[in-house]
Amino acid sequence: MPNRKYKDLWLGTALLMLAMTAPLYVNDYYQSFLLQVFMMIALGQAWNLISGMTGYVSFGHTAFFGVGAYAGALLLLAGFPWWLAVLKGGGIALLLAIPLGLLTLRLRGPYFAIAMLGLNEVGRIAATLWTDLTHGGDGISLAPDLLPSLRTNYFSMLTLATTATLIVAYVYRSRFGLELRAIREDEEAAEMVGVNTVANKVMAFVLSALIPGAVGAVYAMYTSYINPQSVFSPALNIQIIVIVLFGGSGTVWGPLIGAGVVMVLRELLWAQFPAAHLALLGVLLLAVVLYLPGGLLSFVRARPQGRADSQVRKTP
Amino acid sequence: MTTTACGPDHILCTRDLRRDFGGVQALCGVELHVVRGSITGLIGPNGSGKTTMFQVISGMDRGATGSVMFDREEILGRRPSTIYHRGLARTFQLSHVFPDLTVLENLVVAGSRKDRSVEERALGLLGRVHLQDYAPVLGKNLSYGQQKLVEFLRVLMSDPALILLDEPAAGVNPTLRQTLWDMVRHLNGLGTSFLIIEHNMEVVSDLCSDVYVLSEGSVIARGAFDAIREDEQVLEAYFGKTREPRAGRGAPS
Repeated sequence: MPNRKYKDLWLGTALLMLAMTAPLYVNDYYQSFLLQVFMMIALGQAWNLISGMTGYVSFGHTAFFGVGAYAGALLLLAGFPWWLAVLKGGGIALLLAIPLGLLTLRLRGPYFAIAMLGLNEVGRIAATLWTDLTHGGDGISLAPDLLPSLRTNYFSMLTLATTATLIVAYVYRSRFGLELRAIREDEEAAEMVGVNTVANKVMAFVLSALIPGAVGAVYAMYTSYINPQSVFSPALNIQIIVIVLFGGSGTVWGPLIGAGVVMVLRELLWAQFPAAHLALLGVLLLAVVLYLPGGLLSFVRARPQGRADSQVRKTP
Repeated sequence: MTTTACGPDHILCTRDLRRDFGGVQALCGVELHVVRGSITGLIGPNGSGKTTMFQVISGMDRGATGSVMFDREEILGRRPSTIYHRGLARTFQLSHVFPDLTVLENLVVAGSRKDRSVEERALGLLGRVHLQDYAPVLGKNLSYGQQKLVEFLRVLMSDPALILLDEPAAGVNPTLRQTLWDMVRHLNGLGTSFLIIEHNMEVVSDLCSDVYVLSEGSVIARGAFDAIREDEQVLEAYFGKTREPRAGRGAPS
C-alpha cells in the first residue's frame, strides 16, 4: 500500500520536525516532559520488537535499561564523554542479551515471561549487593559538571526514540519481520515452513536490548542519580507494556500513540486529581484493553480485511 | 513382512524407528520406504502412530531413535526448518495457517529468502487454484477448506522433493478436495514424491502406488492397495476380528 507508506513517512517526518524544534518554544518543564515521552517511545518500541512481533512477552526488559543506566553512569564517572557512555551502555546491554536470549528463548509463553521477570530481579539484587562497583542501595550520584545539558539529553532521547521507531518500521516491512510475525502466529508452523525460529527470536531479542541499554544511560544522565530500585523497576516494565498495548502491540505506530496518549493523560489526571490519578488511569487502560484489544491504533486504522467472502468473489 | 534395502530409487527410508511416550510405544521399529516420484499411502486405525511418524520424519518430534534417510542423508534429530530447506515439507492434520498474516504473506514466508520473485511465485500458485483474489485476506478469514488449501500451497513455495500430507482433505468441501487431488497428481507428474495419510480408501486406491498399514506403532502390511485390502492382519487391525467369508469388495473402506 504505497499511499499509506507515504502518509506514514510524511506524518513521521512532521512529528520529528515538531519534536526537533520544540526546545525553541517550550520551557524546561515541557522539555523534561517530552524527554520522558521519548524515553517511553524508545522503550516501548524495543519491547515491541521482541514481544509485539514474536508474542514472547517480556516482563524484564528493564534489566537492560538498568544495565545501561549503571554502565552509562560508571563510564561517565570514569571520564568517558557522555555520548560514548551512551553508546557503550547500549553495547553492553546488547552483548548481555546474546547469552540471555539463547538461554531464555528456549522457554515459551508464561515461562519466558517469568524468566525475564527473574532476570530483572537478578539485576536489581546484583546492583544492590555489588557495593564496590554500584554503591549498593545508596546508588550513584553524578556531579552536575559531568552531566550534559537538559537540551543535550532531550536530543539524545529523541534520537533514540527515532532510531527505535525506524528499526521497528524497517523490521516490520522486512522478511525478518514477516518471519517474526509468523512465529507469533504459530511457532510450530513457522519452523515447519523453514523459519529458523531460534535464530530469529535471539536476533530480535538482542536488537530489542540495544535501545533500552542506551536509554538507561541517558536516563542516568538526565536524573543525575540512580539506584537499583529506580532502574531495575518492575513498575517501569509494566508501564512499557501498558503503553504498547494501549497504542497497539506489534505495530510501528502503536508505541508512539501509546506513549503520547498515556503520558499526556497521566500528566492531566495528576494535575486535576492528584490523589486518584493512577486509579483513573488504570480504569482508562482497562477499558482500552477490554474493548480495543488491538489498541488505539485499531480504532484509528482498522486493517482492511473483513470476511473473505465479503471482499472477494467466491471461488468454486 | 520382507525388509527392503534403502536404495538410490528411494527418496525416504526409515529404519528401526522407535518412539515411546512414558512407556507407551508409539512407534516400534518402523521400516518405511518411499520410492522417488511415487505417491505412497500411510493408513491405519486411529492411534496407530501415523501422525507420530510424520512428526518424527519432519523433525517436529526429535525424541525418536533409529534412522530417517531423506535423499540419502540422515535427517533424524535435525530441526524442522533444516529438513524443510533440504526439500522435505509437510502439512498438518488440522489447519496451521497463520491467522493474522494475509494469504500472500502466508505463502511468502515459506519461500526462499534469496528468491527475489517470491511474491510472483506465491501469486502464481494462488492463481492455479483460483485464490489469487484472496491474497490480501487474512488467513483467519478464510473458510476451513480454503485454509487447508493455502497450507498445501504454502509447502509448494520451496519446491520440495517430498511432501508429507496429513489428511489434507479432512474438512474440505468436495470441489476444493478435487482441486487438491488434481494438484497432487499434477505435481507428482512433475516428479514430486508424496507420502499421504488418508482415511478415504477410494482416494488411497486411486492415488497411491504403494501403501503402508500401521497398527499399534508397527507396519503390519505393505504393498499395492488391492493386495493389502485382502490382508487378514489389516482387517483385524481395522475391525478387531478376522473377516468372515464374504462377497463383494473388500474392506477397509
